[in-house]
Amino acid sequence: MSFDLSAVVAGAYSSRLLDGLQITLWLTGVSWLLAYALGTVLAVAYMANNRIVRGMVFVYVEFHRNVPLLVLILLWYFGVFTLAPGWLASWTNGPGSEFRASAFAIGLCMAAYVAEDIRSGVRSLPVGQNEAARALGLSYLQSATWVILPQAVRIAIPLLVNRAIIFFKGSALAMTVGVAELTYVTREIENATFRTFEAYLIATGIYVAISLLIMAVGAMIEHRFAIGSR
Amino acid sequence: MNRALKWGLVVGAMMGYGMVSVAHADQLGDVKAKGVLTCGVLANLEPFGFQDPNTREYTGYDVDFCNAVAKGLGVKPELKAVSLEARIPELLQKRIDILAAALGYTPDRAKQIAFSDAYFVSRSMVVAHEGKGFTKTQDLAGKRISVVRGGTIAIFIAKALPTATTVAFDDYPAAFLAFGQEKVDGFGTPEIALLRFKAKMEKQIPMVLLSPPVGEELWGLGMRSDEGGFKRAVNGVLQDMERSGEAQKIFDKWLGGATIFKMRREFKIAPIPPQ
Repeated sequence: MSFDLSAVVAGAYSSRLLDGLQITLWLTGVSWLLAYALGTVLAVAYMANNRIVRGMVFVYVEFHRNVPLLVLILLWYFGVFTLAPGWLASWTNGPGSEFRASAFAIGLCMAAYVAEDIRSGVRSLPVGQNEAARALGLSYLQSATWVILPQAVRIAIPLLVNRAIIFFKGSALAMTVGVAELTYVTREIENATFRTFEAYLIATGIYVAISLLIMAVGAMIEHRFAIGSR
Repeated sequence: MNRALKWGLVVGAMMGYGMVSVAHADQLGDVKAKGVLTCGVLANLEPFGFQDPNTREYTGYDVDFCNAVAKGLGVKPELKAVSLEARIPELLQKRIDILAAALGYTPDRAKQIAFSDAYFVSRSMVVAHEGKGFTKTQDLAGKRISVVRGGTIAIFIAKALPTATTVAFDDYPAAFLAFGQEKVDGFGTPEIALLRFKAKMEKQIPMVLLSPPVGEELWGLGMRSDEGGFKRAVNGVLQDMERSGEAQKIFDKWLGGATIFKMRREFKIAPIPPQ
């Protein structure tokens, strides 16, 4: 009984950790793509002057904000994916389905938050921006794409980076449905060696390092695209 | 960066300090002086360690062994519920004296803690869906098998079926649901849990038990590895329990013919052979 970090990275353990890290990164990447794409669409939809569309976005956002992510993952994996039609069965029930279900659950949940973040950015802009764009003859979509979003997203970058970190860490919840990501592997190694501290210390280090990296990249993006003052 | 490094060292040193203990104290003497044996048990693993719904006290096979060991050492037992994740740190940080918490022996685990003589032998088995052409364990080579996190079953499957993939879930219902929904081809678990699920679910999900078992897990009481005297005393009590028939009585009470498991005791308390 002693503190020995090398015991949890010895032999096959280090390659298992790397495999887990790789899956964590893939899961994070896929859910981010989904979240930022859908979140932007939702934010634009909410800007529309249409009560039905706004109502739908509102319901979507509130649903995902009020249900724990863990429950959403279980719901997708054991619920939604099981109800899929037969021709989809190998995709929703075969190997890798736990990854796909988790990516959907995390991505769709994060999209709700991203939509809110971008909406905050939109609300911080003067109404005149949109009115001027429309007065110049731009359509609603053109105004949103070329005038409002470029400004709103830049303002929202700190929020979006924050969100990215939270959901990067949230990817660990996917282990409940058997996705062999970093925390899953860590717990397996802990279970095999009974070296609780060492195993979790390594995982902590990796999570912190990647979170810091995300923050650094976020700061770079923020700096690069900052709205200059005239 | 330098500051970050310094902090890292401080945190590392603090954690290391908690773990490195000096072996001058004699635990057996301490326990006897205290008059209390603090025993870590699981709180949600029927029939080994669980809360009796009527008395709300911890009870089960593991708990009975705790009580018997304390009695054999001439002290009072004190039960402390531990979680599967925290059981080893609880022991190493001396919050408990001994663990009776479904601890299966593996050589890697034995580097961290000391195991008493085996007081229970758990066979690990795999089930498959009926009518899918799986009849023996080897048929699941290359297939996906759901298991519950925290046990040795995944280690056994990796050895017995190296090409199979294990998918670990947090608890039995989830692992079993994945099997029921045919997201995996097999479900691997200790025999006890399997018998319980088979009894409950057989009608809805016809399944076949595959033989041979993928492994045999020897359960020992867990102790800190630098306490040789304490371990010898505990083993002495266990051997007395075997001789007096008390061990058999505890087995029959929780797992024997009058229970839903209807198991026969096919082992004797014995030292775990080094593997």
